[in-house]
Amino acid sequence: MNTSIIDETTGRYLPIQYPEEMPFWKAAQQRRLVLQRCDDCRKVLYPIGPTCPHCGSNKFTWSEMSGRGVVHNFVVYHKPWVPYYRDRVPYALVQVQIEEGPRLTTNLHGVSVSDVRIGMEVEATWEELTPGVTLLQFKPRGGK
Amino acid sequence: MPMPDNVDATTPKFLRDKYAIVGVGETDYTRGSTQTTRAKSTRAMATHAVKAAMADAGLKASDIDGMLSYQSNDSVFSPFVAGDLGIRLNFYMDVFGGGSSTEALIGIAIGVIEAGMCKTVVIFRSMNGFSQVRIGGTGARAAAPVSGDMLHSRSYGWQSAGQMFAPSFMRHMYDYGTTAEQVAAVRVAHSHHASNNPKALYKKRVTVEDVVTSRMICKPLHLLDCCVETDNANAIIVTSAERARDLQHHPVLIRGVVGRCCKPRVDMHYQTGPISTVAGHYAKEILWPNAGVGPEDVDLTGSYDAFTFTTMLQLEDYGFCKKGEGGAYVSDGTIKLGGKRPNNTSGGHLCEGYTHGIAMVIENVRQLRHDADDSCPIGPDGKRRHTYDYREGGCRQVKDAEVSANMGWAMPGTGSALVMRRG
Ligand SMILES: [Zn+2]
Repeated sequence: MNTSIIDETTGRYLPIQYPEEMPFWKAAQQRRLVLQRCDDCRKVLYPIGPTCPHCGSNKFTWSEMSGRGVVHNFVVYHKPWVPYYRDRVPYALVQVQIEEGPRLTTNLHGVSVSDVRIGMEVEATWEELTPGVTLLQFKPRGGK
Repeated sequence: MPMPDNVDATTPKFLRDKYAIVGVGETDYTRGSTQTTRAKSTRAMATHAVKAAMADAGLKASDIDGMLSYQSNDSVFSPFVAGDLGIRLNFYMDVFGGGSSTEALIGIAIGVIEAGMCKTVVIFRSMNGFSQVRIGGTGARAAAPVSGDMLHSRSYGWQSAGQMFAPSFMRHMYDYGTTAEQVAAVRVAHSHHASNNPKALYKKRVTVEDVVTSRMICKPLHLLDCCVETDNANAIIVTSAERARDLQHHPVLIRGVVGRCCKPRVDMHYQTGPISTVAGHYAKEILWPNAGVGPEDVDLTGSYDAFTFTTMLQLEDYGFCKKGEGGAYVSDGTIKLGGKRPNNTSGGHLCEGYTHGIAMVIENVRQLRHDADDSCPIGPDGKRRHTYDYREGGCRQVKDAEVSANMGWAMPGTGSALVMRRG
């Protein structure tokens, strides 16, 4: 488990992968978005957690998401904090509301930061950080 | 404004007016306390601030028996400060936290005195916020291991306070049509106030133009939307209103407190609920009924201004204006000295110095004593003769200030608040 600071090879922070989150990370390596769906109230939980905050159930099933959503909010970062972003500013951070309900926070690929808008239709895309870590990202629907 | 007639000011349930702030003190606001020939430690600064607050109250070391502080793994603990000052403690606690701490700790101080655990409590915050642990995300803080809610954020280049909070501002613009120019008016007002505060680090008055043409840090946040980073310590002393009557200053009575009130899901604020609503939406349901007053009774406010928009969002959600009208409220002159309800008359964190909220409470204590430490002449009785001329370099005392409100902010989802009145 990586609990260290900035990764030397990539020049950025790598996510810690906790055991209870491994289905999410393993699916990500196969470029599939899975999240927990509550077996009792059928809602999708996010962030990944031990119980359903909607009904208190701790029974859930990792379920395939559509990967489609809408940009609910965004900001654009002009200041890099880690080496990886030094020549990549400005870059966007978006909150995407997926069709199944939760909002996921990622970057937005495949579009110039000046064109990012609330309400944009987007879909999941994948970024391989290291052989062990593939990161969920979003891009405009139908785009590259 | 005078207190409303129909309020029961003695309701024991809320301990209204039963406790008071009797002493306040601070170090200078500096940048680079550790870059001078000899480093100033958080211990030395805290000891200085607590000593200043004791002198302000007219209390001896033997009069103090409780101590509270807050920090983020970046400061000294209470027993060291007490030891340096010859204070023997019956109670102390050092808690983790930032901008939502001061008001919450005032509530805890009331609780432990009420419980008979001690009699008089000092609260301090000491930080080398410029020289050591910079809140902006550089230095030691940037190198900290990731955990908890940062798990899914840091890999996306999301880590500083500005980056974490800015989405609330962006979505407020989308939901309500708020503009960058309206929010910039917060910086303008606070810079005017700071120009009348000899202690302030940034005393220069700025314009809306200055703010919106300053470098973009994190769209929609410009450089001048962000606060200063400084090295300093601040302290306040809480005791019973009964003991307060024998002390040096006109007592400032505590009407009501809210401590670290939260939105339904704080860890992932952006994943649930309206992003453009902050904790004040919930905190106001505790604050105003407990204090027995409403926003309309408040003469001046202290709203956490790590950023311009945090002030705007809090004033709105605590009910100083209608939901969605925060942009107009902060830009129509209301929050400036001479306006209906000035905010952060010291210049706040945007201009005076960065203290994680405690300095805004100290400022309002001085305002309610009618003793703001500006450049007005001091009379033969040692008290300032305020001119109420708010031009640059002049007065910053709010005329006839009777009731104040402070609103502390940890993050969009967590806030604390305090109503005080002149005793
Ligand atoms: Zn459920």
